[in-house]
Amino acid sequence: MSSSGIIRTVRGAVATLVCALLILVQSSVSSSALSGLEPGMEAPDFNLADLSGARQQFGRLKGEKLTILLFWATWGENSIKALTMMQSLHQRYAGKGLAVVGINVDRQELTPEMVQAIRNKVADLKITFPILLDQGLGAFHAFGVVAVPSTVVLDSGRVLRYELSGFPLVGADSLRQWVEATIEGKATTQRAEAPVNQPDKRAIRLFQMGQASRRSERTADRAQGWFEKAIAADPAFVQPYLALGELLYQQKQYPEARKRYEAALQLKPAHPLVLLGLGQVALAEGKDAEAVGWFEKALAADGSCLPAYYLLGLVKGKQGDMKRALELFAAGERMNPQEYRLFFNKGLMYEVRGDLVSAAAAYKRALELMVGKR
Amino acid sequence: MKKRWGAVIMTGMALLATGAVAAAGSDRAGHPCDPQRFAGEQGSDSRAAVLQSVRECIARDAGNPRLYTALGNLLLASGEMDQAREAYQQALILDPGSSTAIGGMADLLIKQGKLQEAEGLLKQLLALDPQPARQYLRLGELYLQRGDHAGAIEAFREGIKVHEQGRRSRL
Repeated sequence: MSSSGIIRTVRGAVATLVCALLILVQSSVSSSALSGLEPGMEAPDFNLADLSGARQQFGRLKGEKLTILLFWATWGENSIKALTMMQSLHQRYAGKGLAVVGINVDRQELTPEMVQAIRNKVADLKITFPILLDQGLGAFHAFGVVAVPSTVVLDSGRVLRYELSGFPLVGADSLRQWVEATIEGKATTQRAEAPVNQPDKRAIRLFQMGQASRRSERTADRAQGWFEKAIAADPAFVQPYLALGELLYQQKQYPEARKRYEAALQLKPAHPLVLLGLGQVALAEGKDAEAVGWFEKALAADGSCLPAYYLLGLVKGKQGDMKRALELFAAGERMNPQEYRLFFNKGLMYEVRGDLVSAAAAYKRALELMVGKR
Repeated sequence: MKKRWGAVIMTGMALLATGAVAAAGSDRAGHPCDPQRFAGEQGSDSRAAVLQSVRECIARDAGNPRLYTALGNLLLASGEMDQAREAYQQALILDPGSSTAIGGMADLLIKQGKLQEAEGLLKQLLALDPQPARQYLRLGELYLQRGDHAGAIEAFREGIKVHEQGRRSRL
């Protein structure tokens, strides 16, 4: 890197802001509630080591009726509450068709010291259900988890029946009641076992083809076609609209991306990822005031929607409301202190404000979280 | 001696570029002498114990460059600069293409305030390391130490970008 190439003015930093946003911020769309997965869809399998080092898959651990997967981390207060509730469900229903599995997502890479800290936490809480280690966060990404903790309930065929993002008091209570009613075979006033809009199976397959195409550089250009076919097969299935919106956003086709998100909004007016997507399109188009509105709606729809905190923080900071911006970043950091995108966006905000010292510190933190501190 | 390790590093970089370096040593995950076990942050008390373990492992497996790199990292964290330099040099003699040993040497140079020397090493390493995000982190820290915040921002952001691209391609 030549020193002449270094950006030395705030003006230059602002000019690169759009580029940086396109590279990174867009990826936060794939990170609220569960991205790419909704009730009625088959969940991915996993192959993870447990605390003794033995490899475990869904088929080995599943319950006869239901399996709860809890994505948790030692650093989250709500994770501890979730583990405690899951332990009580495990004790009550382990012999009646329920299996509970904890999937630890503390860090991208776990050192032996971190694994020991996880063992200690599990022992302190007297957790007796299996705990798996998501080294590399492969399962975390495969399930499209954003908020930590996140609870995923699968039936014996690995079909998603219920999901809870974060661990809000009311949501947790509803989840517990739904699990109890389902295991005991009682009627419930909570969410129905099968979603109202069960996606068409062919549409799900086409959507998954699109997702698979996106992962490979060789086939990425075919993804759009698969998503459009999935929409044609089931126009009420929201996931392909979301995926297409994200894809078009990444290709900087903002009006087209907006159309897909607006179509999704008609289907699910309070879906946090839809609201977040619309906010990001508005932000990319320079419509900051509109973006604020969408991000605030996303937060209202899902208080655990972490990207909404840091994206709203970014816009508030750009607008000069630093007090609110820092409150939002702090709230997001309390939810997930390991989320590098939060620190990246904080860096962007400081850079726009011309505070290069704070910007460098925030970017450094983001990169440390990605590659691990030495 | 200084000239010697400089030459060793240059040879290693050439090997890295051609992909000719094979993994050396018998590193089995979970093995008591797996160098990965000695990574991570340690308190001063446990660091002394880990140092002792690494030395015992080296006594048993003196041809393992990763153990010498682990030793260098621990010594560097303890402020034992001269001994750390010797450990990195030994690692590089055994495996001239070890990016972790070269990176450790760059860390040492940064700590010693030899910023220009470290910068040169890191820039060469950037071009050759298939996963250079960590080198960008080092480079950014170097610029911060120099008071060049704009340079640090550019380095950190580049590191974030390449790491993100790498992560996506691995998915």
